[in-house]
Amino acid sequence: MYSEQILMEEDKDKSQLRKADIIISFVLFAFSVLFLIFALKMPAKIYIQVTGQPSGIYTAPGIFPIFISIILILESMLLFRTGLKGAKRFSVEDIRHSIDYIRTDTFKRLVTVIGLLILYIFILLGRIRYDLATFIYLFSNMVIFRPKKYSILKIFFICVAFSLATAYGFKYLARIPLP
Amino acid sequence: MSGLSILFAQLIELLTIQNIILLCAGSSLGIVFGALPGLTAAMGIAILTGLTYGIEPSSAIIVLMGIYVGAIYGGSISSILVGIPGTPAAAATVLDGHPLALRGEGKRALSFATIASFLGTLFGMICLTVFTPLLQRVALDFQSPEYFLLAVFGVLICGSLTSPDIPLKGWIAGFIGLAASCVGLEGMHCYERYTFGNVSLMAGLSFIPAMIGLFGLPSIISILSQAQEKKIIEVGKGRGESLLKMLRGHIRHIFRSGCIGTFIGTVPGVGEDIAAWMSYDVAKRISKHPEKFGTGCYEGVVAAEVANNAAIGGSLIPVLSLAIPGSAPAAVLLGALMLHGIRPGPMLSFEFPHFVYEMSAILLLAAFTTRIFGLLACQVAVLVLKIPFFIFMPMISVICIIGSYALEINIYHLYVMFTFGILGYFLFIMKYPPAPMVLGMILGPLADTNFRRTLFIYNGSLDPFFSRPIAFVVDLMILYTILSQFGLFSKCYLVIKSYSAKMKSKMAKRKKK
Repeated sequence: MYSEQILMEEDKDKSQLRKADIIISFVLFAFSVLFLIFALKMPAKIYIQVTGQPSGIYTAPGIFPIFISIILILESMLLFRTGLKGAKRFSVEDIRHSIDYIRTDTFKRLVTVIGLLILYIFILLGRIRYDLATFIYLFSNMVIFRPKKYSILKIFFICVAFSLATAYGFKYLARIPLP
Repeated sequence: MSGLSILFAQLIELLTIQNIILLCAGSSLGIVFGALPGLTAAMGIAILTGLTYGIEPSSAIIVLMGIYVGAIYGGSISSILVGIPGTPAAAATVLDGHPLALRGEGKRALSFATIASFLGTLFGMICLTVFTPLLQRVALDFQSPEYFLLAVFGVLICGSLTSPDIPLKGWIAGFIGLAASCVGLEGMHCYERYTFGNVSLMAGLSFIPAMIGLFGLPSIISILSQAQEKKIIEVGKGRGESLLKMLRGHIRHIFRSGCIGTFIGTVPGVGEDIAAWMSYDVAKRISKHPEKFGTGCYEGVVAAEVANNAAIGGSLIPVLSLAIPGSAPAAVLLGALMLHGIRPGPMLSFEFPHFVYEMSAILLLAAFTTRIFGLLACQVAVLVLKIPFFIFMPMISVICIIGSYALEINIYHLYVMFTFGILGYFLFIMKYPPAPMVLGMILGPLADTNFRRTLFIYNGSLDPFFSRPIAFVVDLMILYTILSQFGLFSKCYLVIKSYSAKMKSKMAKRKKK
């Protein structure tokens, strides 16, 4: 009974994965077509600056991207076929399932991790001092994800120590400039 | 001078206090890195490539090799004590290592893993020393068509063998990697491709930050978002195992697993994890007591650990002879060698005649340092393993960022790392392997240049891709890789079998008549 339940769960997961494959196949197809269009726009002959002679068509810069985009188009079609074969029909249940996932703690944590990385890489680094930026990133990460029993003061000291240690260690000992 | 004497000379040359300290530091760091679930050998080498960029090439290579060997061994520590593989290479070790630890034989299991890893690395090192010069000689006959086909074969076979779902996903990842390699100035005319006027993109997408992103960020994101808990079993005070006793009892397993590990290591992009699984599977099939496998059997630990460490030497054979990496960590190592001005491939034997032996000597020393410091570093690794993930993972993400930035002191690399990290996370969820993508990014320029060079030399003819003997063999390998995934061979086999059965029954009827 239990093993049957596991098999049914696995079957459901596989069907979900195949549905996602169908969507991915469309994205991949669009990407490959765009890649092909840009490759076709590349010049067939390039004038070599030293001699002023045109290079042969066979060394055109677009040839290899054209080859890759054709293969990617074929692969996206195969993925679509695999998805169609393995997926059950799209239903309202799928939309409900996606909405339910968005409400889960895992999704919220995922968004937070990515958000903090964006904050650190794109906003803090390069704009404020490295040690301060690192402290803000680490402290916010640890405070958000800590179990309730963990004291904030302890986290504060850990973050200060790590930020200063990396700043000093990399900058002065390893002589690696920091952002 | 014979190979053995060159190896000996290199060994003597390497035995300086500075090198030994660097190697010990690298191995210990690798062991700790490998022991932490989610942090892989490839990620460790990638981060340290950025951080060691400024130091002398030979010292940097020593550190990186130490990390490689240490991390592959270190994976077994958390496999045995936590039941979660530290690296994918140690996944097979969990099956028997963890039940042993649960039985209170953790220390003995760890000493088995340490000795097995040492012997595996040694086996791989011997194969590296013997076979690389031979393959380099063969590779001198390789020309543009062969190089192009070999790159395509590498991406396909890596995709087939590393995909957690269908092989097609591995191939897609590989060709996306090849597509990513097209960004920037191309190698023949310096024409800008897919840069959209962005100056930063002209140098292409640097693959070290891309690799740190692909291997590092997905683990950090998934561990932090899933709030995984881990329960560590103490090492215990049980007795360890002596090298001689183990050699006496398991010599056949060691030799067989070493052969399997080295062979799988040489297959482009496949690597240590597949080697360990394959060796474990063979050991189970051959064993007189297959029912004991999975319940805490020392043979299982030995088979997996010898093979994954032997794959290190195996994966370096195609790196040094053909510039095609045998595994994901070897791919990062290839990139690191290129960064330090060493161009692996058939010409390596002319440009750096003793480099293969130098690598073998480093591997040998790394095997010894891992053997000596292995159990000691275990204790440190256990302490690090006790640090909660919510404290440790953000720190690792900071190290990843410094590693990416330090490569060229360019903030643009952080954007590359982040983009590939997010892409890697979604690929991980959708069950696409990252290794073929990395391989595609590395082999892309090689495939591109040699494809166009062939067309140019042979006036647009596609004949050389099929008519040259070596190219024809690679063609057959590509064909087999593709067709075998669609089950065409098994279908053909079934058709032939039913046909022969029909023929046999007809013959029998005729005889009766």
